[in-house]
This record gives sequence, structure tokens and C-alpha cells, in this order.
Amino acid sequence: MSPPARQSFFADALARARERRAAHDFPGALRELRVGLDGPVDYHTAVKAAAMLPALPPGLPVRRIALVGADTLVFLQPIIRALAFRDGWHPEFYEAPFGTWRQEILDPHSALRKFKPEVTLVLRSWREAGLPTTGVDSAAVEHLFENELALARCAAEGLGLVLWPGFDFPSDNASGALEDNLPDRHTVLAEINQRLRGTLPPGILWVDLAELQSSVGKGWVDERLWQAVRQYPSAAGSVALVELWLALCRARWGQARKVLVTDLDNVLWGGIVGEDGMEGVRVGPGTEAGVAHAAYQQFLVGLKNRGVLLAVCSKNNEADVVEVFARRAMPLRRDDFAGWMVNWSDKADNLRALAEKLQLGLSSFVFVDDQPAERARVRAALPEVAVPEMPDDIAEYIPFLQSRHFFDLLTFTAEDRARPAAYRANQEREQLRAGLTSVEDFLQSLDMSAEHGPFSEATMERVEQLLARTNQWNLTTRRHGRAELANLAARPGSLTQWFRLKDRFGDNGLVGLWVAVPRTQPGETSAEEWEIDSWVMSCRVIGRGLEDLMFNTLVDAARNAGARRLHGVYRPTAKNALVAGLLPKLGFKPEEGVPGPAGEQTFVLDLAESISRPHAIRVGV
Amino acid sequence: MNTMTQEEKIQRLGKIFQDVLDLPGLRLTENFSTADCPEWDSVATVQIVLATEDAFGVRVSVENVATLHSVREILALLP
Repeated sequence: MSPPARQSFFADALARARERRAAHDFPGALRELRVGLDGPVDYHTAVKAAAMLPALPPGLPVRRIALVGADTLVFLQPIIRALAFRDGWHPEFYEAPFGTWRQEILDPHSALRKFKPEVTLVLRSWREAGLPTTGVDSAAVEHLFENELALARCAAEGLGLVLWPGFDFPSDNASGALEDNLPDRHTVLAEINQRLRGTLPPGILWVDLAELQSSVGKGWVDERLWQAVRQYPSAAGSVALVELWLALCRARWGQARKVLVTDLDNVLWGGIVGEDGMEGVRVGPGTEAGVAHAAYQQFLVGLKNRGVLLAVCSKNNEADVVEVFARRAMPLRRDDFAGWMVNWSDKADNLRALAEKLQLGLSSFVFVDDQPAERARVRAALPEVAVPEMPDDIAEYIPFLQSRHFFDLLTFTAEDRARPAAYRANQEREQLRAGLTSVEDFLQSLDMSAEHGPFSEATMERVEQLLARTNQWNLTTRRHGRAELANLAARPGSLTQWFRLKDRFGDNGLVGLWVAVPRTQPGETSAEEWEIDSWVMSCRVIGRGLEDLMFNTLVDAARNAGARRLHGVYRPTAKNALVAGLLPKLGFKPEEGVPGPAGEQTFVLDLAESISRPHAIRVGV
Repeated sequence: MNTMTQEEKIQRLGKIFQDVLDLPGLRLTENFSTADCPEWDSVATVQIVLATEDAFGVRVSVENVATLHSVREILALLP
């Protein structure tokens, strides 16, 4: 399977948005653009997204945002516009004239105050502290602290929600290794940060620039762009800063997410439990991937411990999953999860059910899944759920989730615990958007195409592998080897077919097959009865309707071979409950008087009565 | 990179400009400058500099960043 195009995720969405715009479908263009912002956002993507936005995107609340600071804040505007659009609002900006930020705050009649901002974003670097390189005396420190506090107190009145920056640290320390015993700006600024944070007037939120600087690292400021055009911080630093600003706004506005819904296979652990078994999934020491999956679990434990609800949404047999939690040593235990959806249903339906159960709106959900198709399905059906476009590599999950600040709260308890009643009232969800709300529409939007053909030398290796490894969507679980397959294929009248499925996220590869053989008695030359020997589909394409296409081709092939009836047998195993009802669903009738061994159920289909099944898959190369 | 003709450089810059200025139909010429295009503002300049550095593997020095006003001036900085 080709890897999903995460790197071009935004570019692809932008291209679709431009197509829609060119066709004058403006709501559609905005929808595509919104999807693009679920991927990784950097300075370029943010600016491009902002450029696509109309002056006033319809339907979004407008909030008055003041930018107040010592450097050129205009670089931050497109990033704020783009990410606010992702968050569902639109900024109207006021930017204080260059070099006047203190006056604007202090002057009761300033343009800033006339603007009556709802949010005031303050930004200034360590340079504004005006400290000498070394030899700072304590009187100067005291003076700086008093000035900062006075300014912050003044800002606390009449400027809406004020986000006040701590100081970041200079990048040009002269004292080098002497830093520890020669008090310099770094020491002084750290001390002032600590004191300010503890004494800020209520209503002002602290922005820890020093921590942000250390998390962004060396690229926090592009010295050259600061010197040339006063861009501060750098492009990368600006995106990280805006993400933090908007997270603080969401926290204040009661919009922090509360629930993380996680997939299991290849997310909570490596591998697929239905295929690899309880002992085969990789989690914890022993394999590199196992370490990464355990780290992701540990990250979820940390979220849970600070009040985030965890839930599972996975397509699996529940018994398999229960066994993993019961018998594998993992950071997460089953009772760490507040919600539990392990079944074969549509994930959007499962999320709706979870929201009901937890009594929380879907807008407090974050959905983490490694499958692009599942993510696309949830985005289309439930636009209020946050669906980050996860990296291909599990090791990158934690930094990516952290960069989005989904669950940031202002204080640990206050917001989180006192609000469930208000949220219950909020639950009346928006009418789901027209289009793309049904599974059928979703499947249509996947733009699936299939190729199929009889087994050949070129496909034999994968056919054998699929028969050997598929446990769940496997009607008879007959593990034919290469030699048996050759024998089967060589029998007169035998029918074989492999299937390859592509969708707009890539090629899933050869993911399905069936084998049907005539029931001939020795000596007979022609038959009217055919039997399904094997019918297998990879779990990675379950729920796409491929089985319907496979069924249609099987019926056609059997008819063309002269068959009148098609027999099928369901041979239950510990893993294949998924297909227990398959044959009756397709119109097969139970065959009477043919009790098979070990709970086998036999069915028969009269080919004269069989009806072709609808599906959304185009056939052809 | 050194073997690129002037034409190829302009073509590659053209994609950057189309992207940054959100003008898919833009046909870039050597003479194209900030005077021709209201969308080419200081934010766009920074973006063009960063994208050009990525695309051509060059680094634009501090004195050149603020004074880039035309495609010709950018071409002069490329290897």
C-alpha cells in the first residue's frame, strides 16, 4: 500500500479548494480548505490558507483581535486568520503603530482602547527589557519588574482577554560558561518571569515565551529576518506561538477538547490483533515500534491523569482486544477508558454513540486513527470532531498532538470539572451538512476502483500470503499452500479471482480473492453445482463494499461456467465471526440436511434468483 | 543546480510566486516587480525569500532580504 500523501495533504486540499472556487462553489472551497488545515501547518500553508479566505467567511463569528508589540506583528496576522478559521472564528485586527505599544496600553484614549478588543495579544522580545549584557544591578531589576507589572495592570482594564508574554532569552550571551556565577540577562529575566507570573492581575493570561522558545529550539528567531524586516519570532516560531495563543483563547472560551478517541491496531500497539494475535502485537520493549507504541500509551496516561477522557474506537472482535488488555503488559489498562467501541460499525456512528454515552458534544472530541479513509469518513460526517491528519510514523504522534494543544486548560480543575451541566445543554448538535452524511456518499467520495483477474504466476505469492494470514474476513479459513493452489486452479471448471482496490488515498494492493470449484462426481464431465472453496478479504478494506463487487463477479463467473447453484460454507473459527452472516445477507439459503462438522453451516444460492449487489467501486485499470 | 538556465530559474520562481501571491495564472518575467503587484507586500517578500532558499539551496543575506523588489534582483542572488 502506498503511503498516504501526508506531506502534500494541505497542497492537495488547497488544489481542491481552488477547483471549487473556480466553479463558484464557495462553501465547498472553504470546506476543502478547512480539511487541509487538519494536516501539519507551517508558515507557508498558513499564509496560503489565509489568502484563500474571503474578507469575511460566511457563518463565522467575528472577534476583535488587537496585536500589540515591539516588532512587526503583521507577519502573524495570516497565521492567526488561518488557524482561527480552523477553530471556527474570524479575526478583525487592530495593530498598534510600530514602536508605540507601551503608549497604546497606557493612554486611556489610544486607538487601541477605542478599538475595544475582545482579545489583546501582547508580544515583545527580551530586547525590550533593555538590560545590559552583564552587570545588572538589583535596583535595575526591581525597576524592570515594577514597570512590567504596572503595564500589565493597566492592560488588565478594558482590553478584553489579555495574553501577556513572559520574556524569552537572549541568543547572544557574552558570558558563555560563566553564566552561572556572573549574573547576566538570562538569570535576571528568568527571575522576573517567575515573579511576574505569580503577581499578574486576574484576567491576564501568562504566555510562557521562554518555554515556547525552548520547545521550538534554535529556529525560534531568524536573526536575519529580524534584522532585515523585524520579523519576530521566526516563521516556525510564529506558528508555534499562534497555536499557543489560540489554545489559551479556546481554554478561556470553554472550547478545549475533552475526549481523545483512539484507534487500536497500529496505533495503541503495532500490528493487527485480529491477524497477529494477542501475543503478536508489538507494544513495549522488544521491538523499536513497540517502544514507540508504549510511549504513545504513556502519553495518553498523562492526558488521562489531568482529566482528559480516553475512549477506544476500533474495528475488531472485542474478545481479541479484551485479551490483549488482559494479558499484555501495557501502560494503559482497560479501565483507563471512559468509552469503548470495539465492533465493525461505521466509526462516525460509533463516535455519535460515544458522545451520547459520555454526555459530551462531539466538538469536544479528538479522533486519532492511522487510516486515512477512516479519518476522511469522520471529517465528512462529523465536522465538529477534530481529526488531526496523523503522521505515518507512530514516533511522531506525540509531538504532532502536542503542537495542536487540543486539551490545554488554564488551570487543572476549575474549567474542567464545573462545566458538565453547561455542556449537556450544548449538545444539540448542528444539523449535519448536506451531502457526505451517509456511508453511501462517503464510499462514493472515496473514488474507488478495482482490478481483478484469475490467479496467475504473478499474483500467486500474494494470494498464498492472503490465504495464510487473513483470519477475520475469511469464510472457510482453508490455508492452501502453493502446490494446493496450483492443483485447485488446474481442476477443470475451477474459478479463481483476485481483487486489487485503489481509492483516492492510494493503492491498497491485492486485498481479496475467491476460489470456486465444481462439484463433480468421478466420471462426470459437466456440473451444475459449484462450491465456494475460499473467500477472503484483507481487514484493511473492510467496510468499503468490496465484498459486493466480489460477489457479483463470482455469480457471473459461475453462471458463465454453466452453474445453476452455488454452495457456500461458513466454517467458524475463533476469529471469523465477522463473516458469520455474510452468505444469508447475500441471498444464500441454509441448506437442510447437510450438517457439517464443528458447527459448519452450509448454504446454497439459486443462481437464477440471485440479484446483483450495488457498490461504489469502478472496475477497470 | 549550477546548470540551470535563466529560463528554468524563472520558471521555478514562477511556481513560487504563483503560490505565494495566490495568482495561479501569473506569468513571471525578469521585470516583474513590487510595482506590478499589490499582493507583493512585506509578508509576501518574507515568504518568497524562505521558499526561494528552499528551492535553490541558497541563503539570502540580511542586506538583501529587505531590498528585494523585483525578479531580476532575486535572480542576481541565485547561483
